[in-house]
Amino acid sequence: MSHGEIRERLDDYVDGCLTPERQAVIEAHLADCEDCRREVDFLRPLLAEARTLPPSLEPPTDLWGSIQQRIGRRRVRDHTLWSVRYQLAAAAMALLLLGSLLTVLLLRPEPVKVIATAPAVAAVPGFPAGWRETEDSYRRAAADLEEALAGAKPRLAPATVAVLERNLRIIDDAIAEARAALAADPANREVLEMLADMYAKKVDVLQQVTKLSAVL
Amino acid sequence: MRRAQVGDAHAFEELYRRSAGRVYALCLRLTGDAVRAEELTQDVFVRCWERLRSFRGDSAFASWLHRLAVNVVLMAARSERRRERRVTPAGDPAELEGSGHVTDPGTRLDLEAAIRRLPPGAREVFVLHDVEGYGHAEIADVAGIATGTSKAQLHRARRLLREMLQR
Repeated sequence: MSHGEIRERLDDYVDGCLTPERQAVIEAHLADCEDCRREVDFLRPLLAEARTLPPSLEPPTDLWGSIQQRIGRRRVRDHTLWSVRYQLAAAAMALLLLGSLLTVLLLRPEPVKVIATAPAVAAVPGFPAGWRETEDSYRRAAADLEEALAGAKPRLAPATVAVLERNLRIIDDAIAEARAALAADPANREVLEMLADMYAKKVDVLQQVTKLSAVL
Repeated sequence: MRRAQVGDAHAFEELYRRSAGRVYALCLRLTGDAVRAEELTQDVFVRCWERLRSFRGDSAFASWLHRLAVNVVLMAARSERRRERRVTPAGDPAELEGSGHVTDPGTRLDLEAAIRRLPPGAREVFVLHDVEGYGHAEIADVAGIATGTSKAQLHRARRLLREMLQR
């Protein structure tokens, strides 16, 4: 090996990464080469010192307060997100049940009528552009459904009415919770998408009801 | 540990108190910047809090946290370099090399100060290899570089340290 090739391998030599044969070649070279010997004489104590640097250095300031604040905010955010997810999952189940019940209801001889009435929902600062119109459409559709249910209630068993009302409350709670989470964190696309999905499902149920009532 | 894993902030504070010095030392040596090291130490413990549930005890907590800290620091360094490349035209490599040199020829640096003056890539590899005992393959894995690059950066770091420390 040339002097240049040996210089390139001195790092591996001091790190003990060479085969015994190559190590022997380098040691033979070191016996004759003052320049390479100086390099090795520098590297060995450098590496020994590097390995004995203190593994722990106390931060100049106590960082716990800032860390605690940051993990505290995340706990609240995670809890909110979890709660919204739970609520929306419950509401999705409720919608499924509601859709089935309404199908049974509308297959009776006297179909319920769908009437459009709904107050506009208040705008929330920071919500995405166009979201208010989407919510207003949803609210009108939901009001139609509630009107239809109100007309059909006298023909339903009290237990069925109780299930319907309970599930409507679950849906309303889920939507209210999601809206509150969005008001606190308008940039949270995850909650917005879950809420939009929930609205779409509810509107889908309403469309099914409208379609059934039209054929009866 | 188990209490911290289920969200007990007091138990997590104990873990922080036991490990903060180790994490801060690593962040400081990898970045060469005390203020940045404090910020990254916070980031490491926030990430640790988020991921603590996934720690199964297969390795020692200290090793798990150490690896997490290395990942946090190197990820941050990579994105900072990407950002800098977007706004700053690439300079003369000789200037970057020169940034590791001592400005006052009469000053003899201790090793910690000399490490801080290394260029970022060389400093990261030197700290991981020579201080923390990582192999080149491991460094290549965590830093997202080739093994050959890791070896070249180590060679460069040692050469620069020699220039700084032997003045």
